[in-house]
Amino acid sequence: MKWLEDRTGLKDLVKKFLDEPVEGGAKWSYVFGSALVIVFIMQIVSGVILSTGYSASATDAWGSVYYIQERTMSGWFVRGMHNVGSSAMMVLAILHITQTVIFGAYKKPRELNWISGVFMLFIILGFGLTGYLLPWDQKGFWATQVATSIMGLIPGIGDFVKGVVQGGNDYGNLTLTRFYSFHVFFLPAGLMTFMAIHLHLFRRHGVTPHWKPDESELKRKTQPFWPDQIFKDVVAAVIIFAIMSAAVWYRHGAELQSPADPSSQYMARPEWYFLFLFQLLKYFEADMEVVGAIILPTIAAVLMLAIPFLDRGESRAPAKRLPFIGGFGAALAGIVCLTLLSMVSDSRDERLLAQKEESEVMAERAIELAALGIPPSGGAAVFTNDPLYVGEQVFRQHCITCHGYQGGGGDSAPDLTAYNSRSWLKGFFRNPNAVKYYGKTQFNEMPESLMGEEDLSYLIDFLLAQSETETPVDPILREIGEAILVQEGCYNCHTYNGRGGDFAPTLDGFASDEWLRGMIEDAGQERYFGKYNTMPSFKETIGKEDMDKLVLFLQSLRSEPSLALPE
Amino acid sequence: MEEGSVKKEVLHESRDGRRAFLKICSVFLTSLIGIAYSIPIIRTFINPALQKTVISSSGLVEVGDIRGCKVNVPRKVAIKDSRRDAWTKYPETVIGAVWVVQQEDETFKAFSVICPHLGCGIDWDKDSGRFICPCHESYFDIKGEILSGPSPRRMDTLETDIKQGKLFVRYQKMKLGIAEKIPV
Repeated sequence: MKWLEDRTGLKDLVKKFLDEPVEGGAKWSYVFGSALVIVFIMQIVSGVILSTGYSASATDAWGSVYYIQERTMSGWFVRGMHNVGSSAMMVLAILHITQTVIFGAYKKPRELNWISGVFMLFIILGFGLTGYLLPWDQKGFWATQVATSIMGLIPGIGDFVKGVVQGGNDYGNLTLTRFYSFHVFFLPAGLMTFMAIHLHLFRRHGVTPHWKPDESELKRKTQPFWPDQIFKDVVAAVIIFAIMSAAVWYRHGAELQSPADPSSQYMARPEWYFLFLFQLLKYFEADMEVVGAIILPTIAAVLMLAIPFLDRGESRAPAKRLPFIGGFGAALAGIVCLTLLSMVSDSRDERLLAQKEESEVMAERAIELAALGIPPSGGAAVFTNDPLYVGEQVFRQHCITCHGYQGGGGDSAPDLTAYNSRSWLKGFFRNPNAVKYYGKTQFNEMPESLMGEEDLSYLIDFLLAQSETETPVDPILREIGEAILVQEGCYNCHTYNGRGGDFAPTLDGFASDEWLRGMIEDAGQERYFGKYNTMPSFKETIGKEDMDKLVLFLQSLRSEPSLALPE
Repeated sequence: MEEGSVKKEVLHESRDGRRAFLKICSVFLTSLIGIAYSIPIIRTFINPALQKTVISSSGLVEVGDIRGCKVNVPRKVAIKDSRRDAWTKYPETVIGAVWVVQQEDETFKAFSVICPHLGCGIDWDKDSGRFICPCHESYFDIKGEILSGPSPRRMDTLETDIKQGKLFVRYQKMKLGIAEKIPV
């Protein structure tokens, strides 16, 4: 120990750092500054660890965050702590500033303490802004666009500033590499510099004690920083750490939405501590936008920096500085109000609520699909792992030259929009030879049905019940159905349960997976169209896996009334 | 007078005792946070060492038709496989190559092109009828045995199979620089 001490003077150094008389004694109200330092250190630690798994590229960012979150031991916790840490920094910064304002701690000779602190506040906001984009998920992608668009509004140099920050004319790889670099190099360097200045100034001028006691009383009550104040700081740190951990446990880490999709419509919301700025934007329209987006926030920032030069009175007692305490209170209240207004209006916005629900489903789906691996073309391509999506691609590749679909496709075979849905079948029975159905095919044997609505409805129920091959058809429905088959003369052409003609498709297992697969593989089989068939066989051209997905896709059309026929 | 100074001393002592206690508590609580935080941090950090992060199929990979192969004329064929790299799933791409040699008894042998010495690519030298690793001049014969050079073992043979006229290879990478052939 002595050997080390002789060479490093470590003890002296520690003593120098910790040995500071706290005039008036240690106080709980002083803990916020140290708490900020501690949370910042925790942010560095979690940030460095996250950086070992993060990839700042538009194709890989989402995947790498997904991997940290879902595939890495405790990754969700580390990411969650980093995320909650940003909120904790913000809360603590607000408390620290409030304490400073109430104590009048920015007054002469501590003006520069205050100014360096305000710069640190801006840097913390910068951390929040840049960090929000890094997962490259929907909310980060869209919310950050708002911020960079605002930069574009700066008179004269807007476009240039925007180009510098976002790295070019649009969001992409360079946006992420730059935001990442800002987040892990520029801003930390800035924050550490100002923190060093701030701490140096703090040591130079000492703590700002309560305004009431006089000099001699303060002197008498003086306690050493170590351990009296540090103990309080440490207790505060334990409480903060516990709250952060609990929040992370409760929310199971930080949210990861589905991968950024530039083609989607997404209503973006920033982090809670930017909501007041966001809400402010709503009150300024068109040409006035620059007022809410840039001019007002700039004025507020300048005013904040100028406080020590405006509040110059001798006394630090809040009662004697009412205009300043009041002004600060009003500003804080305004921010809280704007934040609440934004939250309330969002909680009542039906579209936003619907989107929230949808994005949760999408996020869950994306994470599920990501387990199969993310295609190299990027996070959003994860949905190509979706069998339904692949099924649709197979459909578009093989079927759409003849079959119509959602207003497009060919018309030489039935339109398959909402295929086998009730409305599709109804239309089919009423007019099977319409263009939409067999109109342009060579098949015109199916007669129009004149049966009553009720019978038709029963017939459709009966037919669709065939698709559930696992469960037997309800005997009553079956009886009604078979009666209709007789009554309408269906048996003349169709087979059902071993009865009837054989030159129209069998009704056994109608619309079941197996029935569809057989039809696609070879519609020329006896049980389908036989010699009347004109549909090519796909047995050889569509592989088994693709066939399964195609059938899945076709079946999905049945249950989606939202994909109703184009008018 | 005396009484007063004694009182002061007691006060001092109790204050020092309290401070010592605060010091211990501070250090203890700080360590508590440190330990609680390091557990997830360390787990996350070491995770890749405990996981398979890059996964290629270890099954038999089709490398091509065996028609047109000539006995003792090595052919270099690419191994195509899909690959998982942490979060990314690559579609079928070239992940390596093997030398395929038809033996005199019509069976096939597949050699990894990766030199067991330090991992350079082994070439076939047509003129001398030898495999050669150009990096450190290891030479191997048509059966993959060492002729000369620093390689610690013969060329790595890979399991092969023939199904319906097509050759399949179980592509694996082996540990380098040691005498035994051990998959990575």
